[in-house]
Amino acid sequence: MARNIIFYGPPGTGKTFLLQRLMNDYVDYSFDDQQIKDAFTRRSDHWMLVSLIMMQAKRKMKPSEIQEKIRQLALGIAVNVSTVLETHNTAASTLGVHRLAPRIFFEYSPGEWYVDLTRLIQYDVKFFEKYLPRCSVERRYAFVTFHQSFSYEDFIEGIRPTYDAETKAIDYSPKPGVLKTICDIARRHPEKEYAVFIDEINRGNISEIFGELISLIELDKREGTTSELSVILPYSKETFTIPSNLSFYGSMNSADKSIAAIDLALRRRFKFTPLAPDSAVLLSELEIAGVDARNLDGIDLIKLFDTINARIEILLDSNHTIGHAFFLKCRSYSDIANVIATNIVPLLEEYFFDDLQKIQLILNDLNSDGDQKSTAIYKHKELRVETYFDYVGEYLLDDCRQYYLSNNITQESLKQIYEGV
Amino acid sequence: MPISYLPYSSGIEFGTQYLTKEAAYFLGNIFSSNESIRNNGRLYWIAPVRYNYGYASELQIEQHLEFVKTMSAPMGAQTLSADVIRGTPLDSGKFRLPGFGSFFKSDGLESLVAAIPGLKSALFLSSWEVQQAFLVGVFDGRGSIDINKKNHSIRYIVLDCPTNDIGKFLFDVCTNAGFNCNYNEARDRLEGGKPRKPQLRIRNSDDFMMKVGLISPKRFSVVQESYMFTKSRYRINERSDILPGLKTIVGE
Repeated sequence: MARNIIFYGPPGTGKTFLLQRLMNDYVDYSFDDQQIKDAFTRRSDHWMLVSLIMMQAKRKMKPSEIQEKIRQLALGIAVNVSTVLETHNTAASTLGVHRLAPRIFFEYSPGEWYVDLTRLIQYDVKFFEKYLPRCSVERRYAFVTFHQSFSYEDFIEGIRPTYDAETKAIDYSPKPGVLKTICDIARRHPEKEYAVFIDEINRGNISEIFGELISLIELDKREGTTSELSVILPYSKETFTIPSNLSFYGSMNSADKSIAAIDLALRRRFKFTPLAPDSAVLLSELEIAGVDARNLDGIDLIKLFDTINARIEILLDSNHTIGHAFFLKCRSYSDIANVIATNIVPLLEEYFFDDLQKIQLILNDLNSDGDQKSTAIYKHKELRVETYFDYVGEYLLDDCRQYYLSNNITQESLKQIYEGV
Repeated sequence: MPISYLPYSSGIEFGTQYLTKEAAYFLGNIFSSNESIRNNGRLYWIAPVRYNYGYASELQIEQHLEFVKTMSAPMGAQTLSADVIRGTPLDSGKFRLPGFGSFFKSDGLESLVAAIPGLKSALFLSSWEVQQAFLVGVFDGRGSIDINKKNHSIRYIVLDCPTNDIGKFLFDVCTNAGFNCNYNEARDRLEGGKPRKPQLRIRNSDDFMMKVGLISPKRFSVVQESYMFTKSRYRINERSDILPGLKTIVGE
């Protein structure tokens, strides 16, 4: 069943990560039992065997089904599937059960398990190359990133000169773009689902890129529906429809552009799903990495994250809050300080370019009298006219403040952000 | 006809305030084992399932675990394999054997013996399906099918009971359900050593397997194999309407 969804939210909320995860639903890894045996012989980790069986099946599986497959493979080694699934579970254990890396299995519903390919590839980027070199991979998706120069000719079709070495002539025939190519493939395989992933969808000129096809992407206007719509493409003159087994997924940074400003023609053809900063995701992802986010070198990262975002929401709006992805790699207080210095403060400087003192408010750098604390992260110094100018004349010059990042962000500086909240 | 359940407070978090079939199944298992652990300051009652080494295949244990987890997960409990439990604070000391255990938080129940009068009363007032589920739970986790190796017949369905109080309680429940059973209290061994555990034995196993049944794929298969030798024919009834994976068997 086709879907048209745009995920929108501030930077760092996992939009691109979500698209990557969705892409795995459109990848088929085909390999036979011998390849599983060969891979397991090469690396006899039980988690690998279980994940290969689930990948081969291409669906959620019950532990008994996996166990039955292991019995059929006759590997001569006893493997307890429930133990493997539980030990490498992505979910935290409320009973304190010890977890081991890679944590790649999740229980979709009681008794039904899935392998998270995104986490598997994160754990070992060369996994398929190393253990399944002969597996065939079918990718049933196209991925593009929209930008100002991305055009109709890139997306639908356009004239792109190609040189034919045999005839020594230049061929000016229309060439299919990304969407036309995947539509042709999807049309030939109606039994499978295909997708187009569009990152940063709001960066492109939607009207120009989609052209007349904007009408065709509606789900009830697809090929084979009662309200099927077709257009004649301008270059090839072909009659074109969009097949019903093609989904569109987009991501949009809501801090770049207000969602109200997005092309209205696109708005009503897509479902918009917000992705907000989520401290629960931060907590669970760090837990998977073996880190206690509530006590990272004495810093309560969750409280720090929530406090910064609450202040941004008060001073600006929710579209400009900070995503949890910025902090996912933090393993020490110096990592947190580094994220604040290199990611958060520059972002805040962009948001509050006309009133940098608000950054000090967000980081709680000022005391109740408005004076700078000794542990301030975003500091200021006064620039007095009389200090810098001997002669002012008729110029009306005011004293101002120069803002700069502290070169010594301590644990106390970080704790002060959420102190008293 | 829908079953009506009796309101009952077990002192264990089952997610229900009634004596449902699923709660009865786990109570049967918990009482038949009397095992608990403390983890992070909380008391957990365990419903263990154990098999002797090499007795059940990994597939049979997985199938059993799946059926049990279908019940335990919605009740807020966690069912974990013995390999995961062994050697951790969750281990009652008895998870060296293959199997698994379901962990239920105590909601005030500190001693099973204290809960016997209330549970007995609630069971005897409950429908037959609830009593059946309790009896399944009693034997499904640690019961054994005692086979006469000469003629393949079933001598008894046996349970080693944890204490005399609990053993007598389970004996009363079995007798009330109409089964012919005997109960041997804990006795010293003639040869010395650890005393024998109190043991509950169901004599009329045919009756038990026809009216109550078992979920354990391995234990059920042992009964079925016996019937293949000792009965002219038999019929297996899937009773997933009572409990997931429950089967009864009727032989002629």
